[in-house]
Amino acid sequence: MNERDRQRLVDGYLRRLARELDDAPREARQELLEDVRSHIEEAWAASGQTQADLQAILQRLGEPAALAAEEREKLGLPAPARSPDLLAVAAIIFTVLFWPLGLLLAWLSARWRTRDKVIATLIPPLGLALVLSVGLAAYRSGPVVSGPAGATGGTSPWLQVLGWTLALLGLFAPLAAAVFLAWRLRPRPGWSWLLAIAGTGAVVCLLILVFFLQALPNGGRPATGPAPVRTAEVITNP
Amino acid sequence: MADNQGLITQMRKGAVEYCILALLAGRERYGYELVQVLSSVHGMLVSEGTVYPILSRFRREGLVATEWRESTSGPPRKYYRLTPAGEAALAEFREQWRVFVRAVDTFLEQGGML
Repeated sequence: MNERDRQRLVDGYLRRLARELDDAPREARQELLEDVRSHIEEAWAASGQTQADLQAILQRLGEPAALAAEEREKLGLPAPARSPDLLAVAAIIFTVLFWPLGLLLAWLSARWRTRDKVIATLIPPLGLALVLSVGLAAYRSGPVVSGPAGATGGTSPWLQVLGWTLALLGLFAPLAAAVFLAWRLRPRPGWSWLLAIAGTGAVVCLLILVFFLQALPNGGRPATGPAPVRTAEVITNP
Repeated sequence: MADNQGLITQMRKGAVEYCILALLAGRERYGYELVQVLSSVHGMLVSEGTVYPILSRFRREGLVATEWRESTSGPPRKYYRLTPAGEAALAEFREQWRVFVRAVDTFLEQGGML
């Protein structure tokens, strides 16, 4: 059995074990992974070093889920849920569509730690605050009141670019919160799940963005004058 | 008898922890060595991996102390040894276990005659 195949089998076993202990304290997880890896190395060194030997070693260790269940019991952690449930998926999708409802669902779900719920809840309002403050700042430094670029009488181009970038970031804040929630699902689902959830959210958010940009009179292009303020209106209206 | 099987499993789970402490009495051992000795006695271990969560808990509770040491024949080994608290826990279990076994045996062996 070549070294690469061996590593692949061992790493696969340890990865499954790690995934089952995703919500365990990092030190406890690391310790168990280290102990089990050390066990496999010892047993391998003493074995005939064929693929069948390695499979027997892993089989005698027990299923990663069973081993993790033992560790979870010792740590006083609840048994993990198997896959993302309807409530969790609904929470993520609704965070994109209408974030107050989505985040409410997230708080009802047991699939996130309180810390993660707090972070996800802070993201959309902070994004909104960012857009509003930038819009306001851009408006004040605009043609009416002369700001840093007051000598020429208009909003400086870099400020407009900055304003629009931040405004877009603010618009995407609920999407960021949804992606964060998908990422912090516990126990962590596979990559395909995360991609599916985040992808759905991204498509929905893009559709909403396109819809609003088309609804703008000038097609959404940044114009001189009060354009950033219009962005703020876009954010507050839905 | 599913219930009976469950009881045996529970008893083994509880007892194996003290067997591990007993194996560490008076000498230090590394994890794989402990697993090998436990596996060599039939009926003690269902899956070998379960020894490690137990050892981690012992360490967290201060019943054992650990030390990584280089090995002449392979990867470094984590050695476990009993702390005074571990020795006390083992001594207490030893005492209670004897009383318990004697009590159960009394009923199992002469239940009808009592």
